[in-house]
Amino acid sequence: MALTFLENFFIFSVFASLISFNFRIGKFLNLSLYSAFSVGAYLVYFFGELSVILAFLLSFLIAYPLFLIKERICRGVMDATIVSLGYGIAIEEILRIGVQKGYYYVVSEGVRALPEVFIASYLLLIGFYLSPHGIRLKFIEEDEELARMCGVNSAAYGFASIFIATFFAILLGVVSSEGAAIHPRIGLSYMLAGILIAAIATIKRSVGERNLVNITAVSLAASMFLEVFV
Amino acid sequence: MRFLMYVVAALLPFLLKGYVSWLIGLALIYATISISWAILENEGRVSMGHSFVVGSSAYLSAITYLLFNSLAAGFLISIPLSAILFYILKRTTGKTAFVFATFTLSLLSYVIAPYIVIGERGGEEGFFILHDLPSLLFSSFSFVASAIVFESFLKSKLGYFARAIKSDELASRAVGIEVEKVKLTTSVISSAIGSFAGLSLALYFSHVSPEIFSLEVSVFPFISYVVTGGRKEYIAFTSIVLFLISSYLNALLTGAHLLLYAMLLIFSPKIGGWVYAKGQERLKV
Amino acid sequence: MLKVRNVSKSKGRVMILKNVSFDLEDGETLGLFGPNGSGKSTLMKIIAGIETPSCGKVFLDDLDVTALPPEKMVKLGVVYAFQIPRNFREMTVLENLAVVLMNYHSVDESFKLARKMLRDWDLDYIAERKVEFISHGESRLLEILKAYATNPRVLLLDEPFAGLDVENVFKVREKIERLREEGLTMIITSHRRGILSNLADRFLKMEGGKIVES
Ligand SMILES: Nc1ncnc2c1ncn2[C@@H]1O[C@H](COP(=O)(O)OP(=O)(O)OP(=O)(O)O)[C@@H](O)[C@H]1O
Ligand SMILES: [Mg+2]
Repeated sequence: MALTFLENFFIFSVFASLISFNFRIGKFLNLSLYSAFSVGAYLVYFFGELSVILAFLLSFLIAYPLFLIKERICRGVMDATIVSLGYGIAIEEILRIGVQKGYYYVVSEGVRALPEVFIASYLLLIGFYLSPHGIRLKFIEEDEELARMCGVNSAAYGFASIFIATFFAILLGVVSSEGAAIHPRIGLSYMLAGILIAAIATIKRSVGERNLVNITAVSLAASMFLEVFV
Repeated sequence: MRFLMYVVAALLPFLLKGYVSWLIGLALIYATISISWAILENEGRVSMGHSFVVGSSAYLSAITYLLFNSLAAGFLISIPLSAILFYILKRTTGKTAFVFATFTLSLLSYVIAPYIVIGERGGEEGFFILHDLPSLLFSSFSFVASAIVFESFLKSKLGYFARAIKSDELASRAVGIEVEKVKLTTSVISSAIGSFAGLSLALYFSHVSPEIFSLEVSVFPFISYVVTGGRKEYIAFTSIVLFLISSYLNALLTGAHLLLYAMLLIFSPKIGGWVYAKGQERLKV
Repeated sequence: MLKVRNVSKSKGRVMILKNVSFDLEDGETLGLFGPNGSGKSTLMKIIAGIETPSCGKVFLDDLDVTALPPEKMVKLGVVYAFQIPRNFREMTVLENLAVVLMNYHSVDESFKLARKMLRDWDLDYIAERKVEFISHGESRLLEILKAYATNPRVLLLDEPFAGLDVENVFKVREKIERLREEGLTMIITSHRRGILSNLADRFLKMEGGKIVES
C-alpha cells in the first residue's frame, strides 16, 4: 500500500500508542487489534461515513467479551496475550467467512480523517494521563497489584484501555482504507509496526504521557526509514 | 509403545492411497513442527514464532536451490540461523517476553516474505522447486527421526536440565547446571528439527510461498499442546489428529479450521487450568 | 580455605554489606547470626556467586573467585542452599535430586544414587511426589540435600531451621551434625545464636551489614 510519509507516521504512532496503552493498563499485549483495524476497513466499505458511529458500538461489542475472558480465565500477561491472539483470529475468520465473498472489495470512497483521528487519540490519551485519573493510571502502570490493593479499580481502567485501543484501531481502519483492496488481514502489518515501535520506545522506560512522546519520536523515525529505504 | 505408534504413523501414508495418503504425509510434517516446538516448551519457553524456523528453512533451501542448485546449503544455513536467533531471544527475554518476541519475529517474516525477490522469482508467488526426490519418504523419515530424538531428549540429562531451568533458572545455576549451554543446545536441536520440517514442506509442495510464515503455522504447535492437556510426549499424535480434523473442517468451509484454532487459543488458559486441577487430583490417590 | 576480604554491597543507595572480612578454615563450621536484614543472606549469596559484590574479594584456597557465576562455584565446591527453598516445582522429589546428580553421573546412576540418598535421609516416602505438594519441612530438607548432592567442599546453609517445628529442627540438626562429622566445611546462618550452639565451631555476629562480634 502506497501511503505517504505523513499517513504512515499517523498510523504508526496511533497504533503503537494504543498497543502500549493497552499493554500498560490492560496488562497484556492485545494481538486482536489487527482485526479491529480490518473491521474498520470493512465498515467503511459498507457504511461510509456512518462507520464512525458504528465503530463505537462495535468496539464495545469486541472489547467487552475480551475483557471478560481476560478477567475470568487468564492467570497472567502471557495467557491474556495468547487469548487475544485467538480472539483476533476469530474476528478475522468471521470477517472472511461472513463478509468477504470471493472477490476483493475496493474502498472507492473512504473517510478522510486520519489527521483528526491522530489528534483525537493523542488528545484523549494525554488528557487521560493529565486528568485526575492520570495518577492512578501511572500507579497501575508501575505496579498493578499494589494499585489494586490500594483500592484503585484497576479492572475498570483495564477495560477502558481495551475499549479505547479497540475503538481507535477500528477508526484507523475506517480512515486509512480509501483506495485499498481490503482483506481480513489488512491490519496485520500495521500492528506489527505498532508492536515494534512500542517495544523500541519502552527502552527509555518512561511512564505515562512521556512514553507517548517517545512513541511519536520512534514512529517519526520509522516512517522516515520507510520513506527512504522502501 | 510410543515408538511403535510413531512408526505406524509414519508408515500409514505408504499403506494408504491417494488424497488420504497425501494428507497424512503432510500431517507428519506438522507433527514434526510440533516436536521441534515441544523441545523448547520443555525448557519453559512458549514459542509463537515457529513459523520462522520452518519458513526460513524452506525459503533458504528454495533460494539456494534456485541460485546454486543446492537444497542442502540453504537448509544447513537455516539451522544455525534460527538456533542463534532463538538463543539470543532466550537470553534477552523472560518467559512472557519470549512469547511476544517470537510472535513478532514470525509476523515480521510473514510481512517481509512477499518482498523477497530473486531475479524474476519470488514475491507473493514464492519459489518453485522442481525436483524428483521422494518427498513423502523424506517427510516420514524426518518425522520418525525427530520423534526418536525427542523421546531420547526427554529422558536425557539435557532434557532434565531443561526441565529444571523451566522451574527455576537461578536455582538450576545454584546447583551447578550450566544454563547457557543447555539453552543453546536445546535451541540447536529444536531448530534442526524445525528446519527438517521446513525442508520437508518445501519438497512436499515443490513450492514455498509467504504463507509458510503465516500465523497458522505459528500457533499450530501451541494448540496441539493445549489439546494434549500439556502432556508433551503425545504432542506428535495430537498434531496429526488435529491436522486431519482441521483439513476436514477447511474442506467443509474454507477457514473453519482457523475458527477452531481461535477457540482453542481463547480457552487455552481454561484448558491449562484443567491440567493443573488434574495434577492435584492425582496427589490425593 | 575461604577468605572474604573487605566485601561491600550496595543496592541503590542502601549499603547492605560494609567491609566484611573473615576466614574460614578447612573442616570448620561457622555460625553466622544476627537480626533480620543484617545481610547474612546477601553475604552467603556473594560467596556462592549468586550475587556480585560492589567491591571486595573472595578467595578459595588463594584462588580469586570473586563474582564467578554460581555454576562455576559449584564446580569449585562452594554451594548455597537458599533461605526459602527453591526446588524445581514441576518435578518430583526424586527428580529434583537426580537432576543435580546428573552433573556428575549418568541418568540411570543419578536416579539410583538419588534413591539411596533419599532413603538415607528418611525421605523415600515422598520420592515420587511433586515438589508443589510437599510440606515446608520436607522441602527444606530437600533443599539441603540438593546442595549436598553437588558433593561440595563448602556448604552454605541459609537459615536451615526457619519455619520448622521442633521435630523437624531436630531432624535437620541431626543431618547437619552428620555432615560435620564427614568433615564438610560449612557456614550456617540464623537470627538466633542459641539454635546454632553445639553445631558451630565459631560464631560471627552481623548487624547492619557489618561483623560486630567474633
Ligand atoms: N534486591 C534487593 N534490593 C534492595 N534491598 C535488598 C535487596 N535484597 C536485600 N536487600 C536488603 O538488604 C538487607 C539485607 O538483606 P539479607 O537478606 O541479606 O538479610 P538477612 O540477614 O539474610 O535477613 P533475614 O534474617 O531476614 O534473612 C535487607 O535490609 C534487605 O532489605
Ligand atoms: Mg536471610
